[in-house]
Amino acid sequence: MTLAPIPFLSLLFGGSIVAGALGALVGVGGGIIIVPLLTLLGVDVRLALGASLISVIATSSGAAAAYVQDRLTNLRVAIFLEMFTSTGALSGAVIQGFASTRVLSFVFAGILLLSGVGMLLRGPAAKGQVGKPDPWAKRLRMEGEFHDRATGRDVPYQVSHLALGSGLMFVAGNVSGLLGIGSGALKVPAMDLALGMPIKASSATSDFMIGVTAAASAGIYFARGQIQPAIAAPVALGVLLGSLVGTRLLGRLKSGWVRGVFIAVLCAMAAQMVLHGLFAGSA
Amino acid sequence: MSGGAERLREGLRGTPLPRPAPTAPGHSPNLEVALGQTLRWGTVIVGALLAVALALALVDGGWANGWTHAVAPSPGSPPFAHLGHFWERLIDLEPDAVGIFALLVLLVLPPARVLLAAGIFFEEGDHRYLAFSLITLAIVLASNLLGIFVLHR
Repeated sequence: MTLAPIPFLSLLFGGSIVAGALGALVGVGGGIIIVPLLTLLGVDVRLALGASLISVIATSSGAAAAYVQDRLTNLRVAIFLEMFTSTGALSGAVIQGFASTRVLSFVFAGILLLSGVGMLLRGPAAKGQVGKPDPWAKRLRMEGEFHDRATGRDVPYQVSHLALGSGLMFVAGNVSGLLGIGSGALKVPAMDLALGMPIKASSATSDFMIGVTAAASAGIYFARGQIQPAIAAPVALGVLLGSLVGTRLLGRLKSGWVRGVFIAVLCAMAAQMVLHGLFAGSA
Repeated sequence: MSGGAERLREGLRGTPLPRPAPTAPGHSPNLEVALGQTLRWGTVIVGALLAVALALALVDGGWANGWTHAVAPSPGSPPFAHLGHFWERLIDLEPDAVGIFALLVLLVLPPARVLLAAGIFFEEGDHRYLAFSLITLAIVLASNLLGIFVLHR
């Protein structure tokens, strides 16, 4: 698809606002929508990955501000797991330099479908598992507590399966560096299902982490010339505005409806990435 | 209003007032507010800079090539290739320079976030988490330095 500058910019900006709003509604960065959108508009997939990475940092900064102040974010869990996601992001960004456009497109489609399945499995009523606290997590004082405004109750929780969670975070970081996304769609289910954290604490902690993970590989993207201001700046601005809209809409929309729309969007985007991989050549 | 008066009002109204989140382990309220505010204002500044860059580009027309996607990734692109001229271009309000400056400020926010978290753990005297924060910071910085000085050559 080849468009004149103004229609292209309008679609780019509008699509980024939608991606930011949807991302904020379901607790992911929005990069998972930005990359397929940009490739649909004819942008080189490597530039799309760079713009997506920037948008993840922007969304994370905006969302994390509110969640840290509300004390929903578990800083201990975030800082501990960030060691694994950052290492994973570094290796993913290095590997990405050797992967072809076709391979990147197919891997991205696979991650989109995996995220959709993860979101289906989570279900609207996922509350985190009340498991036996991990001895290491106990020693590192990772247990937390937050005030749930929806129920008016304080929610204490323990952290379990720390080793499994750390391994999953390395994989999520690797995917983030490889594909220029925040991997929130992988991190949140990992914290929810493996570590047994309540969903609100998982989403808030993931929002804190995705920006740091993305920043670990951003220098590599920048140096490779994959972050072009003409693409990255309007995307970052649109996603920022969209995430503001999304956080305001969150209380008004039914979570099941939002989740259903997001899964449908993920499936459509996966199909678009498969088509892109099939017809993009192997460059 | 004192805590007792608040509880009294709560009792009279029959509805519980929203309580502040408990100060659980890992929470240092003052520093967390500082961290939240830094993130908030950093994001506002970046958003404003991006809006300025976009407005300048629309007036200038300099990003039209990018918007017709006639650009491809080019290793060593600004600011690394033309660092000497970068500040002059920024003062001249060239859209590229303003855009790159905004993106660089954005890239500084996550490491700043980890540094502030390290401050929280330092204040608590929790040296294990202080070490974890510094390790994360070292990985992020090493990764970026690796990208800037090694991988693009």
